[in-house]
Amino acid sequence: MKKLSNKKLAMLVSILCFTVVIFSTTIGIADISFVQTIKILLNRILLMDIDMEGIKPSASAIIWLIRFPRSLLAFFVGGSLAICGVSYQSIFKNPMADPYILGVSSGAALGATVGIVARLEFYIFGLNAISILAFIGATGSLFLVYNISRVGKKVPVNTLLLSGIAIGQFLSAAISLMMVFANDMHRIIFWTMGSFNARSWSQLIMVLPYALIGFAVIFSTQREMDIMLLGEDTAAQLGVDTERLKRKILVTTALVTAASVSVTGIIGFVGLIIPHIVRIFTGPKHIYLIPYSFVTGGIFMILCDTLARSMISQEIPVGIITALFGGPFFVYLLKQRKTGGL
Amino acid sequence: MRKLNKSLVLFLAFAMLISFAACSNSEGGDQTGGSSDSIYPLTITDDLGNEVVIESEPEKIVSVAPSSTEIIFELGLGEKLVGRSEFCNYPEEAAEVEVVGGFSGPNTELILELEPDVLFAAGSVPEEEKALLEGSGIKVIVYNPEDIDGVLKNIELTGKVLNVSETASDIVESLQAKRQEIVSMVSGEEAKRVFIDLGSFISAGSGSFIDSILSELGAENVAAKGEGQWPTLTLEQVVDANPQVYISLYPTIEELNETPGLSEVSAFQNDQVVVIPWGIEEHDFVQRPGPRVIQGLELYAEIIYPSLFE
Repeated sequence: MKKLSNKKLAMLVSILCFTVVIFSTTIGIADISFVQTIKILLNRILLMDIDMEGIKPSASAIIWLIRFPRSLLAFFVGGSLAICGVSYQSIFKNPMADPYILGVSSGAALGATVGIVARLEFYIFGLNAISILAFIGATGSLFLVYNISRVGKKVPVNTLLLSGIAIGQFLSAAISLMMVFANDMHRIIFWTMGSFNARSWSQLIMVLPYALIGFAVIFSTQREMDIMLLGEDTAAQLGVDTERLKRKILVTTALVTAASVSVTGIIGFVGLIIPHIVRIFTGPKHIYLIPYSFVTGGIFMILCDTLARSMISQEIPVGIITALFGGPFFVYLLKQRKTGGL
Repeated sequence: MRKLNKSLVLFLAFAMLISFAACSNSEGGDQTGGSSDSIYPLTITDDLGNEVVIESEPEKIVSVAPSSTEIIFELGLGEKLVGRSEFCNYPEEAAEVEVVGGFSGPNTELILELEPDVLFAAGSVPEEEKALLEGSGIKVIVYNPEDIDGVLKNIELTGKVLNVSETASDIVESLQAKRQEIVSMVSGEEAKRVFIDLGSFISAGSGSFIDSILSELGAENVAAKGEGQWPTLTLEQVVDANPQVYISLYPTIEELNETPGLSEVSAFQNDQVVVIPWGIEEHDFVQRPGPRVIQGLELYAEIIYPSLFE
C-alpha cells in the first residue's frame, strides 16, 4: 500500500462505507422504490422537509426502524469482530485465532441459552434478557479463562489458548445438556448461528461505544503489535511491556466481542478470515491492517446480511452466509496469491 | 459452540418441530369388519405408509405423543395406557402414567420393560428405535396428520386398533358437527391476513398443521410464502405483509411492543394482537393434532373474527 495517498484513501473508504450502507438499505423484500427509500432517509436523517406523499407509514418504518439501523449495526459488528480477530492473531502469533478462541462465544451462548430456556422477561435500555445474559456470560467466561491461565503477573499464551478451548468445550456441553431438556431447541440453535433480524437502534446504541472505543484502544497499540509479530521474547527485549499489552488487548477485545455477540448471536468466519484477506493486500503492518480490517469486515457483514434478509422470502441466519460466501472467496484469494503466503 | 455438529442439531430441531405437524397423508384403516367390533388380526396403514398387523385386542398401550395420549383418554381407554412421554400433559389423569421418554425420544429400555402390545408415536420417533421396538414384537403406529381431516382419521383408526370403533365414530361425528358449525360461521367473512409468531419470527408455513387450520377458516397465512413448514420471516416481511391479526405463541406482548416497526402493523394499531403463552392449556390445543383440535379451531376463529363471537 502506498503511503502518499493515505488521507485521500481514508476519504474514499469512508464514502464507500456510506454508499454501501445506503445501497443496502434500498434492497429488501418489501417493495419500496429506490427514490422512496432515499426520500425517507433524507427526511429522517437531515430532517428535510420532503414531500412524503404516496409513501406508506409502513414503508417509512421498514426503512428507518428496520433496514437502516440493521445495516449500520451489521457494519459495526462486522468491523468489531474483524479487528478483534486481527488483535488475537497478532498477540498469539496464531493464524487460527479468532474472536471466539478464548471461549467468549460459548460463554455468550450459555447466557443466551439460560435466558431462552428460563423464559426470562426483562428489559434494560431496550435490550432483552437474552442479550444481557449473553453479555454477562461472554465477559464471565473470559474472566474465568484469564484467571485460570494467569501465573503470577504473567499470562502464557499457550495456557491461555488451552484453557480457552477447555472452558469453551465445557460450556458448549452445558448448553447441549440444557438443549436436551428444553423445549426451545430451535431458538437456541438459531441464536448460535447469528442474526440481525429485528435488531434496531437500541442494539446499535449498545454496540456503538464498544466498537468505537475498542477501535481506538486497539489502534493505539499498533506499533507494539507490529513488534509482537517478532515474537513475545524479542518484543520484550525491544522494550514492549508484553504482559501489559496482552492484558489491554484481552480486556478490550473481550468487551467488544461480548457486546457484538450479545445482540446478534454467534457470527463466525468474519473475525477469522477478514484479517487474512486484508493482510493479503496491506501486508502485516497494523497501521493499515486494523482500520482496513474494520472497514472490510463491516462492508462484508452488510453484504452478507443483505443477502440473509432478501435472498429468499425468509430470513437466513447470517452466520451461514458469511461462511458460505466468504469461504470460497478466501480460497480463491489464497490460490491467486500462492507465492505470498500469509 | 462452533464445535457442535450444527447440521445434526438442526436436524434434531426440525425433527422435533415436525412432531407438531405432518408430512404424509393418513390413509385410514382397511375395512375388515362390518360390525362395530374389530376383527383381529387387523391390518392398518399408519401415517408413514407402513402396514401394521394387530394380532389381538391390545391390552397394554404406550403413547409417546401428547396427541395420541389425548385420543386414548378420549376413547375411555386411559387405564390401558402404561407409558407416556414427558409432554403428555392432558388430561390430568395422564400425569399418573409412567414417563417413558422426553424430547430426546422414547426410552427403549423403559418401554420394553413395560411390554406394551402397541405404541403410538408422532413422526419424530427415530428410525433405529422404531426398528428395535418392532423387533421386540411391539406394534408401532406413527401419526403425522397434516390437517384436521388427518386428526379425525387418526381418532377413528385408534378406535379400530383398540376395538372401540363405535366410541371413536361418535367422537368424530360430534367433532365434525362442531367443526362445520365454526367453519360455516366464518365462511361469509372477508379473508384476514394472520401472522403466527412462534418466537424469533419463526412461523408456521405452508404444509404445517397450523397453516391448514388457518386456511380452513379462510384466513390468509402471512408465512405461507416462506420456504418449508417452519420459515423464519424477516421483520421487514412481517411489517410489509401488514397482518390484521397477530397471534404469538411465544413472545410476550412487552417483547412485541419493544420490537421496532411492529407498531405500524394493522394488528397492533387495531388491538388484534393475541398472546397464547407457553404453559397454558390453550397453547397446547392450538397446535396439537389431538381431539381438542376443534377447540383450537374455535379459538383461532374467535381471535381472527372477534365480532362473530360477541
